[in-house]
Amino acid sequence: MTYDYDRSMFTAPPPPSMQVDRSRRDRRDGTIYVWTPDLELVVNIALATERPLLVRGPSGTGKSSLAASLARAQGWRYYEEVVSSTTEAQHFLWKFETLKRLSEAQAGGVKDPIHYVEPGALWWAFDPESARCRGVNGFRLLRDPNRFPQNAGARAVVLIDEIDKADPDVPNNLLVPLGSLEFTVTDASDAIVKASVPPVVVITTNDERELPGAFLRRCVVIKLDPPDRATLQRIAEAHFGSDTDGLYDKVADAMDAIAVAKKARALPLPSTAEFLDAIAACRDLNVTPGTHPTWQAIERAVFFKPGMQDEPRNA
Amino acid sequence: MSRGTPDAEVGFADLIKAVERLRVRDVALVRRIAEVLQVEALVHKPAPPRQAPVPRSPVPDPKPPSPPAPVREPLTDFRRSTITRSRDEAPAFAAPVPSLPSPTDETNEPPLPFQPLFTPSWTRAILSLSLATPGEHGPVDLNRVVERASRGEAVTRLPRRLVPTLRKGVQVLVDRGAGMVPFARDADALVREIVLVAGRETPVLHFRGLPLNGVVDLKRRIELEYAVPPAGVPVALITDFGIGVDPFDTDRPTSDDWVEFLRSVRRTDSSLIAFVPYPRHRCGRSIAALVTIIEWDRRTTLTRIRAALHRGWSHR
Repeated sequence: MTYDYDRSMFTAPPPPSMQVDRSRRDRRDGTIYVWTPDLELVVNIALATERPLLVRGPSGTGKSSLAASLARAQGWRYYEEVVSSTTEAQHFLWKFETLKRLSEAQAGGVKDPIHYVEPGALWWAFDPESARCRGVNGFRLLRDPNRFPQNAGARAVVLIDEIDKADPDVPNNLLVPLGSLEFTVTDASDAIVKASVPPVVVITTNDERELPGAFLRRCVVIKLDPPDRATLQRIAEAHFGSDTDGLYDKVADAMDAIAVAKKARALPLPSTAEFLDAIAACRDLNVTPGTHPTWQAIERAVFFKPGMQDEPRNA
Repeated sequence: MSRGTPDAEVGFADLIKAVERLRVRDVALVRRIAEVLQVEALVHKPAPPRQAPVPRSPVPDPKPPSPPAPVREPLTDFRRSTITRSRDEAPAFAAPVPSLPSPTDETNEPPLPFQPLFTPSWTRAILSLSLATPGEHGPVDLNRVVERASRGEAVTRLPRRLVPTLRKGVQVLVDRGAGMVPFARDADALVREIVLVAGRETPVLHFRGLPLNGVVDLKRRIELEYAVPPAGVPVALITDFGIGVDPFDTDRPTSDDWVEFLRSVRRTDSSLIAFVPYPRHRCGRSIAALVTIIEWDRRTTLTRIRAALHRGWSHR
């Protein structure tokens, strides 16, 4: 499927070829990413509407690396926050180091409260100059946590990874700063942080819990499905070079059979990341899928993690 | 992120903005964008072809004539009729048909995949939330620190905020009575999920009727008298509270029996959570007042669990 529209805001880069040496781990830096026309369109829609992009889909489908790939392709600054069960919405704006202040106060060395303000990813994305000095002119400069220091433009991409891990109130509490593109640092200086250029906010979810309707209605949503056979082949070629000995096809065949077996046992289906791991193992160990005991060991270790066989979960 | 409109939801304005900025001229692509933005209902779709109008008579009859009544065949009196058939003539139902192929590995269909009652991807979050008890393991409780510091007291121990925790574990009671037979596979799957969430050492006890009649530890293959867990350890019941049992079954425990059991558990300061494959209102008010009932169903979300727990806090 190809779409005819103006791609001047974002044009998906072609995947690099022959990245053999840099391909052996879960890459989140966006160096290798296979874009589909539909994904490119949805990213353009999010850019055009200036809405957060909510990316859903099972593990290993490339949700997290999408943001980095976008930032890398466009030369934009890149920040990421991985959400945990204790993450609060304010952490994306700033954190206040209460314990540090308390311990310094007890040691008799307490400073002005502004010293204990740590800018969060959205502050850096909205206004890096303000974040660098914690909102107070002339204050000691902080180091910019931009993951791509070579990109220093006005625009930034922020990845908020696995938002479904957070308390259900967190997404709703982000609506105002994301909608108005400004917030006030109430803990210290009362500095008002404003974005001159709206950042691209990419939010991922594994759908382990439902997200509030109000939040969903304010996002552009895309679901990344497991790739089809042709896309799998392209992904493997982007990571390991062309398929000279038909290995990718054989691993894909084996993965299809494993998917049928796992589906019948209500286990999570194999992911793209596992497919790449299996190819990497086959290449290093010089094995092809079949009845060879080494392949069976690879199959167990990569696709059926020990202890997982009895876990009844529908993918 | 439309600037200046923080409360705006995705809508038609976004569709226009996207179409304009992306210079879309293709109607099919406009529809695709509308689909992504979930405003497809607002996109003009070609109306279905209209059917040719039925020609009307100039003056419609106020009451169309009723069709003639069918002429009934006289009923056959089978008691007096005689069947005349030659001996060689086989009845139609006895005509030879090809027999079914014998079951082999090739012809056997694989069993249908198991479909759990909870939404699979939400199950662990549902269990983590419903089985957790509050514990002082969260971030530092600043309000309490400030309160103490304001009184001039030394802060010798940092008070922490209450967060839900599974540290206390959980005792699982699985109803294996007649009413739960249709849910046996679901119960097994739910027990496995609970063990994954709460830990391998989670005690799982099975019972028929009521736990007070005796429980079975299938892992150790022993029958035991039911013992309430230590104070504070929650009890998770997987049961239908007898809803699915034959109402004429005299051995069926009554609501009063259940209430007596639930009260005996509550006396030890343990919270009670029941996963029930029926709507909450069918459990009865007296039972629902003593236990947090989680409807074991695909429509159950964390928001509904929170509401159920909120109701249940009064009995915790």
